[in-house]
Amino acid sequence: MKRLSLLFTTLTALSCLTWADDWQDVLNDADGQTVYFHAWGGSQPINEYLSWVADQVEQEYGIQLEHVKVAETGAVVSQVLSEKTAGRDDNGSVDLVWINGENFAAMKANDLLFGPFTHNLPNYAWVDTENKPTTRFDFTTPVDHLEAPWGMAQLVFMYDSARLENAPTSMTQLLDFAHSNPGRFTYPAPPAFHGTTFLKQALLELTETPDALYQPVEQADFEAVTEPLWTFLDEMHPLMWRRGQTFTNGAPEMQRLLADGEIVISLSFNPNDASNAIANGELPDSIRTYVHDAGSIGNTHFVAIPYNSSHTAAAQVVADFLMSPQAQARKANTDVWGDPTVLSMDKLNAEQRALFDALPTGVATLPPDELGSVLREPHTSWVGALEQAWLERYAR
Amino acid sequence: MNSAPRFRLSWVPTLILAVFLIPVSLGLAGTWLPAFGWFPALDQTHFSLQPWRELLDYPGFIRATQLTLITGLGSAVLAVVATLILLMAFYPSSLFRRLERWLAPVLSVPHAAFAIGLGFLITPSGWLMRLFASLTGVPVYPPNWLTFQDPWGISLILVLTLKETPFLVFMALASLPSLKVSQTLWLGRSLGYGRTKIWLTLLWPQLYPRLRLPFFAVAAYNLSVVDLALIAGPTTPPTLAVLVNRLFNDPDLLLRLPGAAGATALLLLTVAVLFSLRLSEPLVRYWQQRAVLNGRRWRQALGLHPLASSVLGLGVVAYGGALVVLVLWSLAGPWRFPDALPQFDWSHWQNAPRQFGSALWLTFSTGLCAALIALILVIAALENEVRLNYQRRDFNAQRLLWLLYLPLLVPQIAFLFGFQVSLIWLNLDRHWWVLVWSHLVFVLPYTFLTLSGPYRAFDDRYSWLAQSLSGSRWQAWWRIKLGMLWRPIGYSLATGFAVSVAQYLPTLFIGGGRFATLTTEAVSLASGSDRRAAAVSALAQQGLPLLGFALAALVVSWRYRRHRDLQQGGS
Amino acid sequence: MSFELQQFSICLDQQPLFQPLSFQLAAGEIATLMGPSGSGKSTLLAAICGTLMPAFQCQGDIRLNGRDLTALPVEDRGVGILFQDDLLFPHLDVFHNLAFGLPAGLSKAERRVRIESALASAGLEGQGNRDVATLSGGQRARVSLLRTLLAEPQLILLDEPFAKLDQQLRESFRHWVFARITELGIPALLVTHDPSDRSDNGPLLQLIAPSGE
Repeated sequence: MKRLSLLFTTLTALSCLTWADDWQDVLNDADGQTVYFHAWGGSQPINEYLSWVADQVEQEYGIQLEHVKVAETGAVVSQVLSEKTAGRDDNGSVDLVWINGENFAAMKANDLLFGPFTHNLPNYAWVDTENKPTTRFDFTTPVDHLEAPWGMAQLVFMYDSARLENAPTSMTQLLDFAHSNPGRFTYPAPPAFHGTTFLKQALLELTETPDALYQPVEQADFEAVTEPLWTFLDEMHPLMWRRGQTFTNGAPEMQRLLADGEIVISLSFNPNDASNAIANGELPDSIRTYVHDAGSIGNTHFVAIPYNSSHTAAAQVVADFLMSPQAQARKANTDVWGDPTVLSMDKLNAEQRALFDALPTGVATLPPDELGSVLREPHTSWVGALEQAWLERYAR
Repeated sequence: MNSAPRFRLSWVPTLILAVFLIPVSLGLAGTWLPAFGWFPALDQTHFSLQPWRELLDYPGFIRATQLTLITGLGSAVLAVVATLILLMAFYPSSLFRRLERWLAPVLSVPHAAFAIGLGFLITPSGWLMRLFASLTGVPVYPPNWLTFQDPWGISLILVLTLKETPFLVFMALASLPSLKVSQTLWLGRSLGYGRTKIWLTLLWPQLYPRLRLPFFAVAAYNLSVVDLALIAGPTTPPTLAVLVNRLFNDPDLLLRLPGAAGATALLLLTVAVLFSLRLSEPLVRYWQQRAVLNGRRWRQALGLHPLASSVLGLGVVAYGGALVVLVLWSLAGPWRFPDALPQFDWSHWQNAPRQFGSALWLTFSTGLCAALIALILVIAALENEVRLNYQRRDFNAQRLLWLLYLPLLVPQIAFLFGFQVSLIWLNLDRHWWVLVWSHLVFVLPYTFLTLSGPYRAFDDRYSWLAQSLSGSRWQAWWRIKLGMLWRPIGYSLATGFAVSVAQYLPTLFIGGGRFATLTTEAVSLASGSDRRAAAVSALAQQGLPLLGFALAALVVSWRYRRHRDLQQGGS
Repeated sequence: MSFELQQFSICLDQQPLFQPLSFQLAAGEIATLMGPSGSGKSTLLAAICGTLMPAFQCQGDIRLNGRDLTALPVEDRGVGILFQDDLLFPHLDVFHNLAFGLPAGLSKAERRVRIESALASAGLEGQGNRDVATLSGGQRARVSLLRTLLAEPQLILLDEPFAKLDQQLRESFRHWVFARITELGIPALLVTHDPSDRSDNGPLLQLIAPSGE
């Protein structure tokens, strides 16, 4: 594996030299094109970051970037699928989409993606593909250069330090917390993304056979592997917010509950979320971030180009710009967004590295050594199986 | 009579039918095919019942269907009952006239904004609890009470009932003037009957046929609503519409097939409910006739007034509270439990012009165009109807105009997916005029619903008189008929505009997300964690239709400033 | 059976509508009330019935068979009314329209007998199941009065009930109405514009504008 990734890097570096002319062609084509970037629009800081990106790519490349604010990525996949159904194989509506995980797997499996293209992007050379394997395997699905890494995610918990002295360090301790503080924890109902991730995290911590999770679910004894998870949840639910009779629909709603003081522990996929939310006044400044000792699930989020995009050249240029040290450093700033970078500090030159070194440390941001180890996402096939089993048990 | 204008008008009903029957039927076909296994883009090319089997096996499908029935039907019936209670207790009275003036702004409140506002009012960390806690000092933290999104759908029923009652009252008010309510009440009471019995046995049976369509539209809407159910409905499982929506957006693309089956199931459920409502009408009539015969006077209106007052009070608190809460959030900096008021921060409004500028213009121009086109078509159809009344013809498209209400009765989710595919296939998506067209599908029926009553009630003798005086049919129509109908026309224009502003799914589906209106902005911001940004966009979304209603009222009262007879309601 | 008004007047914004009115009616008497348009005739009927808008204030007594009506709600006054419009309920057939007037507590058979005999008195034998929309103008007017009478009122008010009928119908209907009222032996108050509508059996009353105008 390691050798393979080295090969990739070498190839990428080489490609930058030999295909520089090709890249210049792409830049030429991109000039004057409009890119419709379909990305979740629920967060003001992210929206503002994207409008900064739009200004930059317009000045630098003459590209008009339109942020199409979507409520969920599934709708974008639907759009592309509708276009394919109707036979529109070019001139599609979506030029660039913020994506990862199952949505990526689905688009890849159904040939709905343009590419491979990321190895042609100059800034891809800085991506930390060696130490951040999730930039190459998206929920175990090989990325195959069909989507450009944009940001790193890791499941972290947030707690209100004004109401809780010591944060739990494992699922078992989380259960203890629930016993002594009934009603102060919940998680989003699967198949909401964050809810499913919580299930996977709990399963990874609780099961006796974690290795099984990295094989297709068909090859595992699902009942046996997941048994500890259901025992845990059966005990947990009556102790949760609203006694587990209702659930939130995602991390944003969890964050509101945390801000309102309804719950004391919440979760997020962005380790800097709490700092950013404190900075803009959404969360009280007593909120802190923590992770479980066993490590936590991490992944990468990407941007991809649908197979029928109208402006693939400009879309590639934007995808490239999003990976540039300049854009990545700004994105990582907790006052702006706080989304961790996909780049490798080792590959950057001093000047580029300085951009990252100058970033402020958010008040609720964990230093890298406390962020713990990253657990890989289980095999994609587990997602559907876990969701189905959860729904069967708790949402009938 | 000069016959030329009749020929010019006679194609209007056909045109109207074309305007929305095409999208609805294209859309239904495009949904039914995948429901039976045909989805070539996913290599599904033979027909089967497999999607239906998957749907039936989908966890929670049965319970979701039950919940849909309970919440949809329950809230629609409750809304009718609440309307009836309000009318029985207060109509006609000066209180009702005041109420009438508040109806338009209340109707322009977008569903989602209302539900969010109401939610923040009544949740355990909501404003009511904050007020209580900041006054009494307890509780320190929000209690773990289930007051919203309960698994039985009670809060959803509450929200839907509160949302739809004003609409039904509004529709009732359009019909009541032609029912001689005061005289009937007088007569009934002189025969010794109490108000309750007179309303139930005499007035309601006459009003109901005119309220049937709005009532059915409400029932259909409540059965298939997605956004409100996401905010206020149960979660495990959710209602059928939410479940279907989830299937349509699931990363597992093959789930779109059971999703399409689910959308079709929702359509069948809606049809079944509307049919059973229709079939239950004779039962009610039978009971009414029995009540007429027994001659009991029911003089004691047992608790009618207190009941009606509490219904009214609940409405005022809910709407007023939801609005205040939204305003507060839009101005809030940090706002912690149990503070009754936030620390104020204007910055969210300062960003608004930059953020909503282009969306505002698109929303406004689309809404205005759709409302104007709908108004012109509806007036032309109604005028055509008037002219047909003076000739006897066996068949005309006018008779089919009831089909106009189809888009209100067919769940959006059951045809919009198919409609989207058809549009792309015809290469018609992404055009602004197609957006207007798709809005028109929903604006037209509401315009028709609000204008047809007053327009049909117009005393034709004025037209004849004016024609004989001016010698011009056009002059008579333009200067006299329209001149007297400014108020209903103004209101239906404002209603149409409000309906267009509120459209979410059509806007999303037509433009592949490219058309950003205030509503799409509001919905995407509502999916985030920041209540303040969501509140600003919800208020902006609410402000525009409100402005429309205010403008309509202002223009009308300016126009009639010297005509006392035309100043108060009616036509 | 008697009906009596004593020094009765109605004010709107402190302005009296007409000079105080006093009269007395014995059973079977039909008073005729005349006065120019806008003199307050309909307002007076509303006051007697009890459906006066709150904007008006009344002074004086209204007594029916010794009871003071002014404090009673409409339902308890026992005052029947017949309008210019017949106000037949379009969603009910003739039988049910009439049944609405009948008092409670009657047996099914009793109801049938009373309605049939009422119909017979109007020349509508056996037509109870007809849709009211198929009745002629004269028939409608009769059914409307029958409905009022079946409620056994102690006083009947007639608010220009003949105004919409053509000349011939008007005369026969008027005779029929007066005959029914005399038969029942209750006092009645007829408001009309047309002197020929006047009943011989009862006083002619005029509403006079208050002095000073």
